[in-house]
Amino acid sequence: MSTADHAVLDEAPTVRAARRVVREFERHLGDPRDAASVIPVDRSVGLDERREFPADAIAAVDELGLQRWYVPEAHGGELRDFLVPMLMIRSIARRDLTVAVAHGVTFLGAVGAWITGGPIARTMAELVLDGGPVSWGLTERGRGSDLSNTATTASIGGHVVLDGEKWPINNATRGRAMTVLARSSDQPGPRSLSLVLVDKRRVDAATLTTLPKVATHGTRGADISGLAMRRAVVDPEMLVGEPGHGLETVLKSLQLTRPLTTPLSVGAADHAIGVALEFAVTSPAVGGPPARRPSTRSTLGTAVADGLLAEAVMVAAAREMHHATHEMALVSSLAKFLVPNTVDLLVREIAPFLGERSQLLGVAGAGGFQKVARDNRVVGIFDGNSMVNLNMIVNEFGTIARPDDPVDASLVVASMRHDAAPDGWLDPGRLRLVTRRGSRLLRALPGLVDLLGPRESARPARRIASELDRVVDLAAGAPRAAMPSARSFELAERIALCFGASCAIAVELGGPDAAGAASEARLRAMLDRIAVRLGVLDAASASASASLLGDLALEATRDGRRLSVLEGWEAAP
Amino acid sequence: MNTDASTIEAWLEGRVVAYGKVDIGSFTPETPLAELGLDSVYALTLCGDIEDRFDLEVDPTIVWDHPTIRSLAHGIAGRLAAAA
Repeated sequence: MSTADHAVLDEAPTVRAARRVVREFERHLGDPRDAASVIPVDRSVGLDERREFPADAIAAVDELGLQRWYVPEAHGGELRDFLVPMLMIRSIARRDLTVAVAHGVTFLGAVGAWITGGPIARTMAELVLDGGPVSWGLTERGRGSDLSNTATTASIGGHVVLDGEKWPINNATRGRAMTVLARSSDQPGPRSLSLVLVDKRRVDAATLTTLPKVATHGTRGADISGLAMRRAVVDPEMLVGEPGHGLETVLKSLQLTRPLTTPLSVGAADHAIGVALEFAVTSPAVGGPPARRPSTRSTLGTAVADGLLAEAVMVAAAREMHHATHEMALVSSLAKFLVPNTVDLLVREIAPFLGERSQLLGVAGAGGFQKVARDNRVVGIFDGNSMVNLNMIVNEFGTIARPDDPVDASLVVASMRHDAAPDGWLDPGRLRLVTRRGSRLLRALPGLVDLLGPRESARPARRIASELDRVVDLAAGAPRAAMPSARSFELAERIALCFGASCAIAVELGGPDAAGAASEARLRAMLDRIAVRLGVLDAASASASASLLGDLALEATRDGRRLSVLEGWEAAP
Repeated sequence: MNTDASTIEAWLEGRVVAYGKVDIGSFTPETPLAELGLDSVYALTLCGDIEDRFDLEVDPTIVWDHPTIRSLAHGIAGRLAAAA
């Protein structure tokens, strides 16, 4: 890459510059159908078949400097607005989710240090800016999702001595460092775990052993392996935060990493929908391209609506990280449940339309689809699986149902505006393990519906808002239990769908052409689809808005465009 | 409102009994909350109750750092004094 290209990516703190950075990043990645591009789809499919790590693509992304957007400005990086790295990760994921997962995990491994601050943040920043992959060593073999079962020990004295195995861990083998959660006290309770940064270059190599790569169903090329530590000695200055505060730091880190995983699914949706739209406009089927059939328009439109919803939730979650930091305990779980879940649904529903192409290799455009279908399933598992996130929502039933503070929906929209600048890097001191009043986006739903005025989209929106009322009442009366009932999980899922409606309305109303026909078509189809998923609208009633959106998507495909709730964001001056 | 530690302690004992996992008289202020059936979910409820009662914003980590009724009462009293 030339010096001039670097100058573009080096640019600075305004919204305008952020747009340019994202646009240039996407341009550098190029057309994945072009074998000479950075992440060509045919190479990705081949590597995946052979379970090979996408080393060339990762090196190219390193060269583009994405890791600089993982490091807050205060520590020498470029991170001011979370939406920027999220959109870059999406750009990668739409080409090859394995590459996005392999690169993005460095943010997960590093974020604990941004939350605790102190000298370790400087050490971590140097490591990340140097291009060193950092992995996140939380889970252990046979211990499930409950981190309080952590058995790896950290004996903290003049040195920190680590003993145990972390598995399965993304980038455990190729990573230069791992942020390890370990037990530092025999006392029971949540203050017995600590976080330690293990830089392989600063630890006796004889005390570290990497564990073999795991054969995974999706992201087959990723380095999903493990690290065994046998009396590995680490400097005490490599502690991330105070001894005993590891679990708190991890739980707060997850509030930032969960939104950061949503662009993986959004990129997967871009890819899957792109394959289907391309097939629809080009396939030489008997009687002309499938795009001419009415059922095709509605099927495609429904998938596009799901993709737009995933995108809207991603954008809203990115904004809330800056504007409602204290609510991320809930917002991060709502987003991390809803986005992969919605994209899984769209992939499943669009597969029959593609027919055998959804499974085959060696048919134009088809190999990518079967890969993305498998890859996205992985997003729903890591960083807290869907059940963990629904459980987090259940735990918030009490705060969601508390007598609410009035929330000004127009202020919520203002913070979603395309030209809204974030307040800068967030204040980690505002992260809380539980919210006080749930999410302002949820509370704003009735107000957001009012802002729609006489628009057609207000009709499904009103149905969703009254469903939210009903569900919140039920949630208020749900029994408190460490093991919630299936009924509570279902309520949590419904709350997440209503949250999706809030995101869709707020993000569309914050767009540059909020009153335009294109925005209304997107919003109507998204809300109709949510209403169908909630069971408050029958599928037949939603087919008109889906077909209209399908037409718009087919038209965009013929023009080489893609529908987006961010329409105008990248292009705006 | 009386916000000395012993008053808060008595109020906390009342809350723990109200959650219905233990009978009054079956525990002391020094019994670990975890042994009173106060799992992480009830810790969230307790935080909400503390906030409503004392108009004091607390995170569940207060229970992590103050794992008995007596310790928690002192923790709340200290924060109220700091906020006053």
